[in-house]
Amino acid sequence: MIDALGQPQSVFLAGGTSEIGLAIVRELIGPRVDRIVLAGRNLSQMAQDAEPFQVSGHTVSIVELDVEDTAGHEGALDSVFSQGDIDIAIMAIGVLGIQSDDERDVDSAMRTIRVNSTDSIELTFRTFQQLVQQGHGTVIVLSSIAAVRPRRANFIYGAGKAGLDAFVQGLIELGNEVGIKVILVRPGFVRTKMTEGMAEAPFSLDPIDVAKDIKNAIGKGKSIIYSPAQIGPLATALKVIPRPILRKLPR
Amino acid sequence: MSEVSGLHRDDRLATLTGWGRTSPSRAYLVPVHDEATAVDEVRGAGARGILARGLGRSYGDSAQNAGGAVLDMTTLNQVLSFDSVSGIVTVEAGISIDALITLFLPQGWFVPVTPGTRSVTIGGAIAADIHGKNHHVAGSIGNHIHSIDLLFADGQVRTLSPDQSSDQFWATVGGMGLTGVILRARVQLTKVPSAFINVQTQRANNLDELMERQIDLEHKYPYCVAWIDCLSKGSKLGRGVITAGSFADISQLPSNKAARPLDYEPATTISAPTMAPSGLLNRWSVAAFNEAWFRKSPKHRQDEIQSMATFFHPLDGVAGWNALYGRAGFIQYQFVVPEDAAEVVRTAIERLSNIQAASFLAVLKRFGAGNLAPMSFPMPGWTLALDIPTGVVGLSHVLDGLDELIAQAGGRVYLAKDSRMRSELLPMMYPRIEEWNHTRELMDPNQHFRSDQARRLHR
Ligand SMILES: Cc1cc2nc3c(=O)[nH]c(=O)nc-3n(C[C@H](O)[C@H](O)[C@H](O)COP(=O)(O)OP(=O)(O)OC[C@H]3O[C@@H](n4cnc5c(N)ncnc54)[C@H](O)[C@@H]3O)c2cc1C
Repeated sequence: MIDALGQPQSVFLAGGTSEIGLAIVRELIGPRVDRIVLAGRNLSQMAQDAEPFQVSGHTVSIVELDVEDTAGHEGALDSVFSQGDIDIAIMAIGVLGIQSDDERDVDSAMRTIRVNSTDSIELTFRTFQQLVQQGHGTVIVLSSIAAVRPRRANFIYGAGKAGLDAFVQGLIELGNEVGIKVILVRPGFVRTKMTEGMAEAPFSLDPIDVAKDIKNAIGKGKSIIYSPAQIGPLATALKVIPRPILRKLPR
Repeated sequence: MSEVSGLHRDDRLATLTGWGRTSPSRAYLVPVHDEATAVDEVRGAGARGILARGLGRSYGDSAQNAGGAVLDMTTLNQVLSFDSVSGIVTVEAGISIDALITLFLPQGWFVPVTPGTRSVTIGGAIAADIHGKNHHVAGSIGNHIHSIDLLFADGQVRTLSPDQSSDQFWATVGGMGLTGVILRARVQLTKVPSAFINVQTQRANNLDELMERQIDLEHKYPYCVAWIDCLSKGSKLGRGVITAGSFADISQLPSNKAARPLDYEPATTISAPTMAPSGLLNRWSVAAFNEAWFRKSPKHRQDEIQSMATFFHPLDGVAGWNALYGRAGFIQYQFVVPEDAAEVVRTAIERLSNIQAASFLAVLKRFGAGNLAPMSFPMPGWTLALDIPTGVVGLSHVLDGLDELIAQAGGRVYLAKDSRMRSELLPMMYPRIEEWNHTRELMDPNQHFRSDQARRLHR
């Protein structure tokens, strides 16, 4: 249970090897978290990621979950939730894709879009329903600034995240009605393995920065979070900047 | 997962919190008008279990059951019988202390124990084994219950008393709803000569003086409590005001009151604004209030006649005052430490004032002997209770530290107020918990009765 001071006892990370996801887990766990569930495809990587948590006394369980295998979502989530209540679920799923390949190969592009959009939506929605059944909980969903303002360099990824983003905006409202807190996070350019070698955009940040922003924003009761916060107004500005000028801006 | 739709659109689903308005959760809230409803609900309880709820005056998550069923007991609230010779009243568990006082004080009978508010049910009072200003002479409410009718997890109703099935009786007293649903109780009322209190007031300039005077006054009076101004520091740390008293004899009343000594009218209430900005109770307003209040209190006043309500339930004069803390809510921290660990009280006040955890007033009292209930809160020693807004920076850390200090000193935190303590400390604070677990296991082997607090603490 989350206590009166907002401290959870259990955290579930979907996308169990996500650097941003793991940073969020590290930031949110306090003296009361004793159970962490990592769910993802790469079992050996998750086992490695689990170690530091285990060393600091947390119980970590690892659940096999492939977001593209939507038929397997329910089974995976059942095993996550059968071990006890989940106070905070973090949805750190999605792939960046390789834009240059995706631009030439429609199948590849559709896969990028599907994973980030419908597959992610399905897993998020099923997780949400589990929390509804439980009668309490918070779900944090990682979207992207690209969902709000797709750019030439990432519009295929952005298209997928836009689907997820729109869905989660609605889920926030539904969550209000059924007592589940939904938090939508739109990070800018985050330095991770996923973005390694890419040209950095202005306001680049590290996973830990995103995690800190999320923690602060939760404390303030916000449900839509830009990270860093400055890119919020910027995203709005970008919407009204004429396209020819936009093209000339750095990423 | 088609069964999911149920929890989305059901009229009976309610978001519940405790009095501190923190940690909301959703449950099926079922009004209980008769025993049959309660029995049906308990028999039909699903995987997330079921729990009784009274007037929701516990501060944290003890009267919530996320995803499960919650029985609203306040609709089961009748007086079933009263013996005007013995003063034993049989009531349904959802009756409030307010209703009991309103009905019986005019007949010269008072509840054996009253908390700082009249808005609690008898069921909730027994489940928390509440204490009042008379703990040093009367003990907690469990000491005044002749029997209860408890609805068990198997759907059967059994009568429990200190003589019959006493393990189960005492596991239910202070059991925070986790042993079953109290349907009815036989309560011993106390004979009183009037509806007025003869009050003694003394001001003390620091904590030592406050404790000393309190010990002295409680030898003389059945009701005694001290209020501490938590914002005063240094040599004034722990300054406060003690009030003590007893029900006034007719001879002590002024003639207008002596003519009708048992007249009781609940004080009219004024309402607090429904959604206050969270800054309303800031450190400065609290400091100003406390200063004014301390100066206003007499250094020493004897034999002042106060109404029962003014003496016992000053906060009931402001309806919905908990909303003053704004959206984020507040917690109440109450602990007790054994007599020889009185310095923990000082440490607590110091540490909390260091992080500016503004509290209007803290309440300090010395408990008398505890009772047989393994999970009952009171034990001989000092108890301190104070309200703190949740937004105070560093609060969690400071309270965790205090919890440890308290546990090490052999003390404990009050579960009816708790909303945040660490589960690891529960067995240290309640050393008889194993005994209680054992009885609970026999009464409810599948843990049908569950609460959010139990999920948080009993792990
Ligand atoms: C202003 C204020 C002052 C207070 N002062 C004091 C004080 O001086 N001393 C003191 O001891 N406490 C005090 N309290 C706390 C209060 O007395 C307890 O929390 C009490 O349990 C509240 O009763 P309730 O009917 O509101 O119960 P709830 O808060 O609804 O429930 C409390 C617990 O009782 C259980 N319960 C309720 N009804 C039943 C039932 N029929 N069968 C089985 N279990 C049941 C619930 O499951 C829950 O665990 C104060 C609270 C407030 C708000």
